[in-house]
Amino acid sequence: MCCKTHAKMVEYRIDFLQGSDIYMISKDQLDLLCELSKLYLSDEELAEYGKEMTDIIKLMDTIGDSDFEYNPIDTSNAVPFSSLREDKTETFENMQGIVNNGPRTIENQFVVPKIVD
Amino acid sequence: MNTISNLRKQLDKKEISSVELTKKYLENISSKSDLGAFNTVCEDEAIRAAQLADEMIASGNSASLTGIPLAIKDNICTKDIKTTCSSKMLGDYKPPYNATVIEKLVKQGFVPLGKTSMDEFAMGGSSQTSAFAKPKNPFNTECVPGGSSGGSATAVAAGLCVAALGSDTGGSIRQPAAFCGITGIKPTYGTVSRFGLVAFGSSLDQIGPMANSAEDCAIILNAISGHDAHDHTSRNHNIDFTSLLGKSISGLKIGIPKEFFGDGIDEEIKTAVFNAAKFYEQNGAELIEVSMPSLKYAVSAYYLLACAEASSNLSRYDGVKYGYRTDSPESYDQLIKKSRSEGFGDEVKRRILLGTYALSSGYYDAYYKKALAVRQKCRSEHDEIFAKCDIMLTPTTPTVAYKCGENIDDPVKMYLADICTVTANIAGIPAISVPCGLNKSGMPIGFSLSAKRFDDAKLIQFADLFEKENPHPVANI
Repeated sequence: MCCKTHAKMVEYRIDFLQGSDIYMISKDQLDLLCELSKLYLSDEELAEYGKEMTDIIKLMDTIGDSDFEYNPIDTSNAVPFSSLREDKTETFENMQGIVNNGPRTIENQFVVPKIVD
Repeated sequence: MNTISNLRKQLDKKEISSVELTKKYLENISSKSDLGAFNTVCEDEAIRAAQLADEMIASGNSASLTGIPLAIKDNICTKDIKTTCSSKMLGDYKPPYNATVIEKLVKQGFVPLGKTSMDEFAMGGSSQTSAFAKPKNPFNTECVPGGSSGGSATAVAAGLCVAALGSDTGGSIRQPAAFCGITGIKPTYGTVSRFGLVAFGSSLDQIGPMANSAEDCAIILNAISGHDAHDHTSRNHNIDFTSLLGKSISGLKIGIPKEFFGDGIDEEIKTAVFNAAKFYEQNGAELIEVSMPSLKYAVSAYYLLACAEASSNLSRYDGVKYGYRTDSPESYDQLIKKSRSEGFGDEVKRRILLGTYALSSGYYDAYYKKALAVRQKCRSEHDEIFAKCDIMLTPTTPTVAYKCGENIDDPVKMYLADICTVTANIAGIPAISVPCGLNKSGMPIGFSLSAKRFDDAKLIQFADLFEKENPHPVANI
């Protein structure tokens, strides 16, 4: 995340906590989340999602009441390196199956809009 | 009610052929298509597989699932058969490979009847967020079958297959099993390979069976479990899930966690679950009260972890390599944003936004890291509980199945309904839901049993004992 976006999120976090009596996720906050999530929302959707997200985040905020500390060296679900398969390239036999699922392809290449003029 | 064990005997004695059996199930699926259980019915593939299975049986090479017709949740990859996740995003997706569980079943000679509907990308508890078939509860078609594996539950309960595969990230096998009066188990995390399961919350997802008996669940687990080099979290414990069937439970201890029986749980459900506890007590088990104080944070922790992982996992859907693609995008950025916005439904978008929020700088410590702390606490509390008892018994759901359309506009209410199931996923332990009667309205009630990691066979043992004396309810359709 770039510095500007980081600063914006921290700013929103402060706004959100300070305005806890109103407790409403703002349109700007939601716009930024949409940008990070690569989603478009219409103005109507933004209003609806804003209300729903506010309610959801209120529920998520209850986790702040817990006093449990995260232990980063807890390895209760660690996977031994010995269980990993050898790091070597393998030929996938059904290349055509992959290409067939491409929404637009030419000569086994995925086509995207022009990025560089 | 058919079970795999009964059908196995009939197939091996040549009382019925797999082709005949498969045709019978395909007829059932066709005549009850209004139940909306399936997104795709693969009639040709099923008949071909049944013919092969009959050859295996004739040559004396049958395995436990040879010729057995099963349904598959539509988020498990099946080569050249649509795997849509009930999403417009994957509406035309035909995987170029089989999930590991499917490969294992194919080796046994199973019969794939089709792909069952579900909540979009397994996100929901009603199966009504599906972009395609919206399954109904066979006990009352005005009610939901639960979710996200609702199509699989409907198919089993309505006799459209003998058993089905589901997946469980926060209760998606157990909750629909409870709503539809069948048995469903979420195995210990790592028991079944996730390779080829469309990813939602990778640290929580597990594939598991949904069936008419615990014994059938064990038979399927024996076929699909084990280490897979394509999923480094899968383990090889060489468990025979049927090994404890019929063994006495005398002297074993059952923990009853008081926090699971609070005000939010229907009185009829509490009564039915306590009756199940009494049944075990009468059969020699000892009941002890245990406590899980972290339960009040479990729903928040679960949704923060699952959505954080989902926001990352679902970033692969960009309209380039596979999946839905918007028409005439003006730029690469617009291609991605419009494809995702048009391809995903509301609940998926909500969860991506929540996950992105939880992982964002400035919020990470307050939400995601805190959720990880709750996860560690939840695990340690389970370890303490299972040091005192062999099994833990709880309700599977706070309510019975509700009417279609109800709750769909209230995501918070939907999320809170997962309170009884999410801890098993957070802690990675196995849990099974078993039917324990009907409420006054005739809707099924389920109770859950959980145990320490890789003690799945013990769950099967307890569930089987209950089922032997308390038969599953049968839907009158």
